Amino acid sequence: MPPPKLEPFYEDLGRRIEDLRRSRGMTQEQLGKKLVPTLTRASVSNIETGKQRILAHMLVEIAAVLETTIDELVTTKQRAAPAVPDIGAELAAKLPISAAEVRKLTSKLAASGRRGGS
Amino acid sequence: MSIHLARKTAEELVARLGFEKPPIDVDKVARSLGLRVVRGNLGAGISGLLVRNADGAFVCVQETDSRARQRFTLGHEIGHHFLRHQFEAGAHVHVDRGNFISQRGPRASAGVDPKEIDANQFAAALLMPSRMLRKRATEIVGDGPLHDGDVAALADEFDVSEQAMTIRLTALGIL
Repeated sequence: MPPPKLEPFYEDLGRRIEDLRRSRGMTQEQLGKKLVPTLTRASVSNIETGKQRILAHMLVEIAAVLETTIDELVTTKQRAAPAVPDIGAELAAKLPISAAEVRKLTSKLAASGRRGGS
Repeated sequence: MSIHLARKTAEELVARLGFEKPPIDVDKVARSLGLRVVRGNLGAGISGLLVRNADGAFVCVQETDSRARQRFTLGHEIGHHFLRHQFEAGAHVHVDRGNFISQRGPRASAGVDPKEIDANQFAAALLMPSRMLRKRATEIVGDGPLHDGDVAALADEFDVSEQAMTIRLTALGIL
């Protein structure tokens, strides 16, 4: 059996790092300088485009500097699975509304998803 | 994230989306970010929800709230989403209660989750961008002071509550 392709994993990781870096208002250079050991702007750029595979300790560093968790950065097997979590139970636990109202809300959510957000 | 950065992020977003005059179409902002907006009965004391699941991210807005209040809630939830706020692990639903409209200063708000303060600042800057607001205030009164009637007119124009407008004008040093 051929080995699974790793590129999508690193591209996905890079995209998440880039999105978070931008949302933190940081340039690639600023992020690189905050890491221990530091990375050059070019290395950060290569990581963000998925061209450079990063070492485990660097993943820990990047998550810390971006104030997030490793779990948020990587695509786990569970996340890749197309499971749609049932939020009905969570809504029922968190909102002071009846079961019927919760069902109404979840069906509105599902409908808005089908309409593609228009 | 600093309060300043939350405000700046919102102002940049408004500029990027090309809004030039009030009121800001906050539903359009949500759509442009891929957020779906649903209005419904969320129960007493709940103003809004940010829901994330495998289908994407959704905002639920309390349908019984006033229009201005719903707009502020939507801005607040967009803030949570856009600023990538992380809430309790494993949860898909973040609940906002109706008490976030008063935007207290950073020192007075000890004990309040900084994410909520950031989201408020984001919402205020999104609905009442500083450049747009300063321009309109100057057009109305020139260099003179704003009166109560002017604040009400600006609130109307930007489609926000008078309370939110008063707080924003004070924060910007216009009032």
